[in-house]
Amino acid sequence: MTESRVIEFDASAYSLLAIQKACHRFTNKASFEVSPVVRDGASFVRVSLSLLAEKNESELTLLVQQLNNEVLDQQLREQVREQTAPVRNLILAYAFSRTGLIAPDGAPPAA
Amino acid sequence: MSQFEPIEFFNTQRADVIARYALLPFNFTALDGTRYVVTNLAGEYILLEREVLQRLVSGALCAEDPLYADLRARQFLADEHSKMAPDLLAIKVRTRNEHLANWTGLHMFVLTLRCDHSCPYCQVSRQSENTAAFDLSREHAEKAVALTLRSPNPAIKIEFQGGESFLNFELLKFVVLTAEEANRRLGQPKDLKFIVATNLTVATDEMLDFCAQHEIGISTSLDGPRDLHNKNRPRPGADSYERTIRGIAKVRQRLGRRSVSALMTTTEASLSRAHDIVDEYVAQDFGGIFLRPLSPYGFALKTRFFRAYNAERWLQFYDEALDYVIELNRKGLEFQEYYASTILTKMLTCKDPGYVDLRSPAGIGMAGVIYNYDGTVYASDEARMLAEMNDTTFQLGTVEDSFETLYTNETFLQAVDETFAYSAPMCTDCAFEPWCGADPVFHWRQHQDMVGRKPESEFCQRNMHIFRGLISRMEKDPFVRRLFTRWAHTC
Amino acid sequence: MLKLRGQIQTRNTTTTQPLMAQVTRNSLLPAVMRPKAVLLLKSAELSQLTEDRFSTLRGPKPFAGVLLCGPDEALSAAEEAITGVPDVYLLPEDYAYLEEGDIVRLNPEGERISALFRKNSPSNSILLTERCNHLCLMCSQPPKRADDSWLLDDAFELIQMIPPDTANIGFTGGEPTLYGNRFIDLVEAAKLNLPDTALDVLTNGRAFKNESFAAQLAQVRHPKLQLGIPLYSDDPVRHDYVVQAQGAFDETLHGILNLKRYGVRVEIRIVVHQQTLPRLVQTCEFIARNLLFVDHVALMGLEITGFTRANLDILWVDPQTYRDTLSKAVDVLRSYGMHCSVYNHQLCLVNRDVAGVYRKAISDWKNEYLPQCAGCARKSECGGFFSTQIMYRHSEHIQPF
Repeated sequence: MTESRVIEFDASAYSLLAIQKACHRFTNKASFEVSPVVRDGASFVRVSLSLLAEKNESELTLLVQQLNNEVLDQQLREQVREQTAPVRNLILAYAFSRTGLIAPDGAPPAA
Repeated sequence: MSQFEPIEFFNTQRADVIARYALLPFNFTALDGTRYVVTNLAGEYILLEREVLQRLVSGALCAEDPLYADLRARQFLADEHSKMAPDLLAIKVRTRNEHLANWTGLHMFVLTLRCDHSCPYCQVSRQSENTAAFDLSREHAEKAVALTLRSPNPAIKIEFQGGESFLNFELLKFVVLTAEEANRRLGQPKDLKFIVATNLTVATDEMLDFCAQHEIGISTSLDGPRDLHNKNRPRPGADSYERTIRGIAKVRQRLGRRSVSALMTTTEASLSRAHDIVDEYVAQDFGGIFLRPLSPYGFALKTRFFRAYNAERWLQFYDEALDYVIELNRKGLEFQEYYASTILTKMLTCKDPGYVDLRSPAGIGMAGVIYNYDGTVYASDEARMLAEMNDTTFQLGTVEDSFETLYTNETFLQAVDETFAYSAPMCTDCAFEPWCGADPVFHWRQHQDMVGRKPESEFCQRNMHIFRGLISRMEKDPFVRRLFTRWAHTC
Repeated sequence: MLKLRGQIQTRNTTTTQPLMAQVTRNSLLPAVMRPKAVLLLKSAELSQLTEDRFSTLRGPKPFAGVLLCGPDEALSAAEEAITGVPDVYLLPEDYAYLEEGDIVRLNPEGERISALFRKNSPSNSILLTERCNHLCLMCSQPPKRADDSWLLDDAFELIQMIPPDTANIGFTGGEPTLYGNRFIDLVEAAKLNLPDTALDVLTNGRAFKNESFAAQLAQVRHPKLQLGIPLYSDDPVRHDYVVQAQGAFDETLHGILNLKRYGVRVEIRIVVHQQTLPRLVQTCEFIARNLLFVDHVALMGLEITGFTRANLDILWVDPQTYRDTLSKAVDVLRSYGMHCSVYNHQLCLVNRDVAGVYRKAISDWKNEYLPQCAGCARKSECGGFFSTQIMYRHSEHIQPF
């Protein structure tokens, strides 16, 4: 039985940070090795994962499926947050505008 | 007459060709198999068939398309005939968000955890005589009042909770009098209102007189007809229902007909009794009923009611009850469903219904805050219940902390920023986003992730089902459309 | 319908200049007040005229004019008695409605009279100009191009003569704001001379797309000012068509927004006819969604005068056929909590649900009823008809209650 699985993500579709965040979400179930890889001029991110307990095929397969979904989710979060940052910052700054908590430069308290 | 031009003269678009227009910002989400709910920047919706939506988006509409004039007037597209759409949208977006800068309006005070009831779904109350251990102290209360009035909101609502609030009536009086006095001394006094959640079983005439004198609203619990209510809410003597009804009558006598409102908690036993529950509220002469969505905290691990039902089952119950309320209205009874009314206010107007549980940015801290019996301060009632289960993630601090410290709490800021619905995947593209909200506490509890993944989120499922349900009902029936429009404007 | 202006005859004219004067019925009016007053003598009094009576009128301080009003025979009979009486005006019976306190404008050279202000009327409107930058299909005051700013000059004078206890006056046109700053000055004059008198101004609002113009008007701080601004459709093409001016929709909307930004009271007016009916409900929805802060919305019936008569075939609709649409339109506005009224419709042609916002509003001088209205149980609640509707076109479904 395979102890670990290796999957690769196309680095032009997914950022390293998104992949790392996704892996992190499952660190209670598996251990991860994340490494960038270049092959034939194309960049990838290689993730090698092995289950911490209950080592069986179906669990591993399920985890890979969940990880794929999570990577997509994290990637989207990153992109959407960036795209909508101006609107979000404007509204939050307005919300904080009368609390006396706004910094002199007008930025809301940093998260 | 020759000096008058025909209407065609004023239309720079020829009727028989593709119109020249630009899209204004909008999102769309499927309503059913063929139609889409399309919402513009101001959160106003129109229903479009898929085919029309496709032509709209691909720039293939003609000026003579029946919906073209509507889409232009309702700010989904713009052409050379009018440049006012951005100004009009901006006014509406501003109006929708105006309330945000008011900051926290709802301040909940937990007067005591002591209670005479032992409702299985309650996760906070204690049956105890130990007042010192479970009552809010004067020192803490005083500080909480100061924090309350520090909020920039020109309107403050202080809501007393428990346990059973009236068991610590002395402190209720203290808070009311202290708050009123401090408010009077403010440069700009607030519009200060009080409301107390109570089961009314220990309410004396003296207490009610005080409430009358200070115009304190009364909110009690009525889970349904006698058998259901008493089953849900046991107390010594098994007479919660009788006492509640007597209490309601007494309050109305002293404080007026509409001075008392009631809330219900839905348990597994409630789910098959939708008609009975509504009938009970009608029989008790209430103007409406609040079918509030369940909270999973009501089914804490320590009771056997844990997850006794899921979102889907609750939605069935909700639909049945709402349809029944609509039928009663059709038969001539003016009776409102307050949860639908709240949602409809967001869907059909630019007003804010003041409902802290469905807002983006999230209502935690920013719309409502709770001062616990022990002086701890939480970002919401759900956050307090989470702490009862030993998770203090959403504790802002204590009443010893300053306003600044409480509202610059890192987790709070992070939660508000990260769960901003417009910045969340799926929410950002969702037609319902302007009407929806963020619920970091719920998602943290369910998924250990404040944002959650909306495809698997019960919060999302529930809200989408309700949005779609309200729209479908309005589309099918002009009576319901008129009824819902009236409800939307009475919030 | 009352005749408010027209041809008259003059005798013993001493001046060529037009003049404005207050009507008095008191021949013993103190001499010091006579130069600004005209003495009105009507039929019955004409027959009692004696030389003696007229002697007081030949004194050193004469009235600004003497108005004799009656049938031709009475006027001819009186002609002899008035020799030596300066500035006599002979008025046909049409003007018998004039009373003490009314204000008239007399043009001795052109031999014309205009009743500018009637004390007993609940609605006095001052015409400021006949020039307009619109050409509405149903305009009741068809525009003229000539410079008629003398009307504005007269208005300044009239404001000072109107009794301060007058409840309300109106400014109309044409388009009053074409006068720019002088219009603002007139509003200020109204505030200073008639501080307790409500002022209703009819305007297309386009001049207020200029924010500073709106600010200027607001700065006058007139205590009871309201601008009545028409918006005929949520469809810019249709609105522009009805007012026959390209770009009108945007400018009017912009003007409304600016006015409200500066706290000026605005009423939106919609005339209901064939061209505004197709989108009447949608227009009310547009107003409720986008202009919720507007103070009032008026839905008005068609007056059959001016351009309306020429365009009758594209304008006229029997209100009986649109009563349900009207109900829906009112329902939309009311469900959003907007104040609204239905004017200039007959009570038997509107549904009961409109009763709450139905108003009697036709100016008294042009308000009449049909013969079949005589026995109607609700006649006193009904606004009746425009005289021109009686004359030219009205519903075929008028039925007494």
